[in-house]
Amino acid sequence: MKSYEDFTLEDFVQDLYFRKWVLGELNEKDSFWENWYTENTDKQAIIDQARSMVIGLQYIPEEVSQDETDKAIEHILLKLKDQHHTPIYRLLLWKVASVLVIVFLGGMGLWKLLSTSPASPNLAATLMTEEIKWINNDSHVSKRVQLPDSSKVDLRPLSRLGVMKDFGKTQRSVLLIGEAFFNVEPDPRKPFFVHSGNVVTKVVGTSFWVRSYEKEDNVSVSVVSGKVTVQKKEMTAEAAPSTSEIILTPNQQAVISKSEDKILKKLATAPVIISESEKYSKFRFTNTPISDVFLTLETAYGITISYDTNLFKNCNLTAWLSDEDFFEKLNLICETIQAEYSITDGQILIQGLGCN
Amino acid sequence: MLSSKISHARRAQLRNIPQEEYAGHIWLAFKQGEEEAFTELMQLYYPALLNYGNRFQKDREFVKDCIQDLFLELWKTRESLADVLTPKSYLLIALRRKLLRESNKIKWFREASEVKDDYEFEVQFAIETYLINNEIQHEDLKKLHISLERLTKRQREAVYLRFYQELSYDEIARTMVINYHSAVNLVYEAIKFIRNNWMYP
Repeated sequence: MKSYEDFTLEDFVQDLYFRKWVLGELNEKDSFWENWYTENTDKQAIIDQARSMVIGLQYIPEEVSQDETDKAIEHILLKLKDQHHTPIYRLLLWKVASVLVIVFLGGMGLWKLLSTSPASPNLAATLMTEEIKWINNDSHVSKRVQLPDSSKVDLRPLSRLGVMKDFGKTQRSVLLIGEAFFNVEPDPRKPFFVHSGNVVTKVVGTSFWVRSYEKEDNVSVSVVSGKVTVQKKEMTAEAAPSTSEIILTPNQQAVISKSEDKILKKLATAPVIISESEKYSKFRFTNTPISDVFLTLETAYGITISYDTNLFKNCNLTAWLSDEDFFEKLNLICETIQAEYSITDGQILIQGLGCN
Repeated sequence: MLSSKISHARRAQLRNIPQEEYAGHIWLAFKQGEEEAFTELMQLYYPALLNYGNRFQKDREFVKDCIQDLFLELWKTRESLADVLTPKSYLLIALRRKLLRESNKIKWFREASEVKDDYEFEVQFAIETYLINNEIQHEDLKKLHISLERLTKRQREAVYLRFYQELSYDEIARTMVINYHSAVNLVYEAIKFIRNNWMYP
């Protein structure tokens, strides 16, 4: 390994660490190269040239958007399906995943929304006042925030939480830019509100996620325990509460588009077991009627599973499931009873021919 | 049936490891016929492939067709593919070969294997936009810009693979079907050429 003192111009241009510095990709606290530059006065000319060259050798990034990628991949998978039969649930799963990805990569920011939309004077005005204390998380790990009412918020990296000065006295309202997990102390007299983009989430006492990044077109809310209502804020000031309000129960998720007027109800991407009972967290089946199997799953995850009871009445399952996640369990069960599942409106629908 | 479920779970655990190593595992899962791994492989590399392909062929749709054929062929022959640790360079090589072959078909060249220097490699350097946006070292960069224009296409490709796709020299050598030393030389000569033209014009 050569030391930097012996480096030629070519070596510098090649050096990954050096390149990162020139292109501003190093950690801000890393001042190695600044120091080195100051200390090695005889090398400054060569460093300057190497810097120009690294910059000059950059390419104009020709963007391949996520959307273009997704469409192309979907096309390839369809071609593949023509060549051999693919179980429907796999394609569905893939579609669900890709919808979420597209959704999260969407385009319009809260700031943009606030600064360009004259129709939202309230929130914008509120944001500008001194009445809000902002808590920023610029680190790489989640930051635990405890609010005056003992509710807890885990603020994800690069997220901001705005807390009203008089929080807890007459109301409980917070603003969120980014993503956070809320664990709210019950207080029926003062519901807890999370404002994010043009979405208001109202809670009595529960725990849930809110994701609302400036750069993303969508806001998503997913519930871990309790019950939450989500509504889209009308952009016209002082309007009566919008009718587009939905109720979420555990393992359900709402995805709200900032630009379009619609709320989608989905299943959480990774449902968690919500039942306290030991009985429902063990998934050991020995010749168990399929109706019992589905009931166990429904109770454990709080997710409704619909199927034709008559058609599947002869189906049994012998399997010990444990560490698999919800969808893996469902896959396994469906493969055993030769069925397929689909997800509609936050529910699971099982279809198949039944067993003899 | 069970094996695919297990490896799926294992993949989930693997998400904390470096991307390259992760890609190696994805490749193995893909070889075993896991469609999710296949999808993930495409998600990982489609943008890089399209970007690279576009250097040879301006016709974006043509490049996309080639990538589609490439992936479909890979899926069909997955069981007989090698266990590669760095799928990225493997895919770049395969696409390069395919593109040159297909382009030549269009040009009615018969002997596809004879392709040596008969290809284009277009790269637009960011320096132009930089020149407009930045006053600093204006004159120096202008000279640099002129010498960049004069790089050979093989030098351009090697420089592109090294600094844009961040391949190792070994991978560059295999991608461009040259030996290791030629790959190193192409990049060093390109830099030296630019320097000489720039410092002592």
